[in-house]
Amino acid sequence: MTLATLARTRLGALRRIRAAVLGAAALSLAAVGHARAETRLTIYSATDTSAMTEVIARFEATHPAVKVEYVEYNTSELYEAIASHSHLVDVVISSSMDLQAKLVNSGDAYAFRPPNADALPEWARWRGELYGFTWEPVVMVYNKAAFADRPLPQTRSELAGMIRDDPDFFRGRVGTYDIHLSGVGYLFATQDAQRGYQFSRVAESFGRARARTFCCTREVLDRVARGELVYGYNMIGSYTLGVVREDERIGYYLLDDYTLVMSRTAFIPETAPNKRAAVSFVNFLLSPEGQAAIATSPELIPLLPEATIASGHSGVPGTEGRSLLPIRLGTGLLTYLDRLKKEAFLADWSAAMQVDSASQ
Amino acid sequence: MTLPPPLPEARAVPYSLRRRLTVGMVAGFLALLVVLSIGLWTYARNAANQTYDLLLAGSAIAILERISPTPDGLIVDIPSSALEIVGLAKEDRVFYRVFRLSGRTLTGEPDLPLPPGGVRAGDQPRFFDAPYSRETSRFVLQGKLIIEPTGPDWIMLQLGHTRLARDTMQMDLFSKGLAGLVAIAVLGLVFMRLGINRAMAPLAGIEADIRGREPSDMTPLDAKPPREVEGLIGAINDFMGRLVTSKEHAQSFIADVAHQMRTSLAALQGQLQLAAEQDEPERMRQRLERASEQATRTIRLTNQLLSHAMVTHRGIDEPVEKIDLMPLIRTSVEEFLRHPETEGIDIAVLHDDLPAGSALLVADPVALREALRNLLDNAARHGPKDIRIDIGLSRTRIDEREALCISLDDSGPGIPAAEREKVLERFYSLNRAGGGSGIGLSIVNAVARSHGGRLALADSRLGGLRVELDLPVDGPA
Amino acid sequence: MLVEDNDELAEAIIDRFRGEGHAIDREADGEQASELLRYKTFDLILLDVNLPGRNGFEILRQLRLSGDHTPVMLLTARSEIDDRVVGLDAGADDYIVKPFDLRELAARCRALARRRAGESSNLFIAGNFTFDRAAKRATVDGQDVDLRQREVQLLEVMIGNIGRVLSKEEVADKLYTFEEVPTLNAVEQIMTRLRRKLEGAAFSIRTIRGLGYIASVRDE
Repeated sequence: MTLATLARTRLGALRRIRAAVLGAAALSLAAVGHARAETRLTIYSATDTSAMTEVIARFEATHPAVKVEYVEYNTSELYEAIASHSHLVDVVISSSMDLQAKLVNSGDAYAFRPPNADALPEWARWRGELYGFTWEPVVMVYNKAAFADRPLPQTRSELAGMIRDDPDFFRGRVGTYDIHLSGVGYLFATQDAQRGYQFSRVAESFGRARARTFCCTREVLDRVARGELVYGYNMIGSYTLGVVREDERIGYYLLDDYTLVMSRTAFIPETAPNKRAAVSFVNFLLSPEGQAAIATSPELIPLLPEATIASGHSGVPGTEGRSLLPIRLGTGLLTYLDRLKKEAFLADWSAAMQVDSASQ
Repeated sequence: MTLPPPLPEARAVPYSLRRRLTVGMVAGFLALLVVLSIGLWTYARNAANQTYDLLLAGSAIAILERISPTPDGLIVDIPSSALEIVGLAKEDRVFYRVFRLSGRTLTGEPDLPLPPGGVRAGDQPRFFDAPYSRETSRFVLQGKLIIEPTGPDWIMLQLGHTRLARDTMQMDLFSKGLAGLVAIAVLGLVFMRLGINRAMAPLAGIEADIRGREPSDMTPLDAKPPREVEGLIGAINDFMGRLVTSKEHAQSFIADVAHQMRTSLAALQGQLQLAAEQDEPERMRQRLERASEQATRTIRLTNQLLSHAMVTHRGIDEPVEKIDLMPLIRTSVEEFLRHPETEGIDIAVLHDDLPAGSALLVADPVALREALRNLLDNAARHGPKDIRIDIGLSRTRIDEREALCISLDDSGPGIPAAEREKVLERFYSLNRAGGGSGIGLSIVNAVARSHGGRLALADSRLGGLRVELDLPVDGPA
Repeated sequence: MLVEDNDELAEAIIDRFRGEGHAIDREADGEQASELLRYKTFDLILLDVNLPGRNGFEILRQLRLSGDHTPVMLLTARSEIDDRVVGLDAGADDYIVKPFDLRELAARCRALARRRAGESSNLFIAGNFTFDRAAKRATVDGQDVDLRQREVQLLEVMIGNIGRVLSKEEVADKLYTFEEVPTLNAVEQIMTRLRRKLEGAAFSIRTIRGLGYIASVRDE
């Protein structure tokens, strides 16, 4: 594996990444020099390199002729890079299911059938081109100390009610994604918006509580841990779980009304130079072995529950019996990517939040 | 002359009625299948289109409903339900575009293909296929009239998806329909085969009947044949009847011939024995003379019998040649006059109403020549040395059919009216002593019959016999 | 020469011809006859059709192919005219159908021999009648017959077509040149005069009304 990026990518970091890719190319060329004929598999991914290290290592172990070049992006930049067709990429991985769906809808994906395709849940695959390989509930986090003597809101309307009833406690201390910056955040928000009227109440109450928005889950988690924030809304469950395991100060839970479940997805562009290696990589991700490798990552939860159980982890505790709403891959995801729709939604959100970006 | 051996391939492999019917029916069914398949294919396509066009139409309505003017401008709020409805065609990619009639894209893919004939204002959905994004896609185009502050304008929605689900449904409908058709065709063929076998069963019974017979058993088949082969059975029975008749004729002919030959040869032998017993040379010579005469008669009898057999035999084969009677008469006369005994005979050929080259008819020239030769011989043999013979050629009719009449008048003794019927029979001769074998006229009669003509005897204006041989111009009926 | 496989018939024919003072060879096998004909010539060949070895038609065809024009009389056992036609096509000069009268055979053979002789020499002889083509002179019983030019021409035509019926038109065509305008009446008149002058001759011309004329030779 070639580590193309060592640091988290951010908006505007594209130049840095390009440089890193060049470096990676030099590195991998050096690697080719003393190895036999190798295929270099280029993966563009909006998932932390650290989360994928073990998976890639195990893949390379079973496919000695393939060297993986892993390039990390954030979701929006990744979408732009692929949609512009300016890069030759073998596998595209992203947590932003809607953007992935849009890329596939535009006809850029290559169709193939993994050996265990039938074992995959229907919502996590589309057209034989786009495959989800993780199972990540969207959870709420809170500062344990802050909520030591107060009840946690169990539904979204309770949350909105609590914020309304105790504005002083929550003011400036609720955190969530900046949906302008985070593709996943936008996905969660639009999914929420489709689930019902409560979301507009929640957004409104966030605005009233001067909620703060961030680009990434970890930013929120850090602040909740420090007590800077007391409540984090719509955090990716897998990351959260990894942090919560290490940090006593943070708690997480699922709301009673519903819990979104998202899946990181992978597809192979039609233009992929190494389709065979790409197919074997995605097949590996979906195979029991690959799922088991995913289970070893503290930041990821495999799609197949068997893999979670086999790994010895208990998945995300507290999900049993909850109304889980997996986000379906398909054309429905395209709705909020409509230019006008998105403009209107972001405008509504901004209006509700009355955000001052200075919080960044 | 020896006949060449029959060619082995002359006997073609017999064809199978069953196979012919089967091949015909299979071909028919296949043709029908092809026609029905084309129809089915079109039907399946229309059905799939109609089904999925409903999805497009529903989604289009849902989207158009959410296009509305506000004081701040136009709102296009694509409902998520709309794309999800189209997404019911699960594997298909979805494209849309909202644009003004002027062409300005408000949202969606700006490069969607327009329908053939261009965009027209109107709120009725228009469906069409067009290639987009490397696939053929199905689109609906529908407009909505929006009253804006600047005035009314048509906002058009174009919504489409790839044809995967449609093609799958079409293929599914088609293959299921086709399976049914093929099943019906196969069943039909099976029933037809059974039907043929059933229909053929009586034929097998008739075959068994014929095979099981003694060679001499010529009784008619008593099978109850189906109507279609009734004619065949009738023909077989007729044929057997004719075989019986022909066999009887042959038997009586052989008996007659045997009798005639034996008699003639016995006479010859008698004369020779008498001659051998004669001591006196002069009387012996006389005996031998008579033996020689008897031998001549025997030869003539033999020739006549063979000629008769030949004519009868040839009569079975249809004469198909169109021949001119004049050259035939001419060669017959030439041949006749080559015999020295004919020196005193006065022959004339009268064909005034038939110019040269117009005495044409379909006939067997060999048989006709035999007939003419016999008529001439008869006249010469029974008449005086200076007999006059007029050969006449004229047009006549046989039962409305055009015919030619060859007549022969002679100045000989003639045949009494009472005897005329009999001389047409075999071996009836008025003049045995004169070498009459009694077979000459019966040969002519056989020729007349085999040509569908007739032979008549009458008194001649020359004082002797008039023979009229009428032959139809276009051959036997 | 006689080619005939039936011993009895052959004997009768040989006796007949020797009785008339002719020398005659006999061959019973077609193959051998064919061999013999290759190096020996005869005045006349009597040829049976059905022969062991090689049939008569084949022998005849080969004979004619080799340029031999010896007169051939076919003896055929079949009374089929087809046989006769094939025989004549193959180059036979005449045929006779078995069984036949030996006297007739002899007469036919004489006619053949005469025709041959007439062709090779200028002198035509038939019984008491002679005609010298070169001298244009005819005699009956040794007496000169006084013939006009047309009558001589007519005689030549009729001698050349013995046994064949010639129509008046055919005779006229042969008598007159292209420029002359023949009338059938004239032909009749010449014919009548010629016939009168030849009265009592063994060569005679007969009229067949409606057909034409035929010349024939009376034997003895």
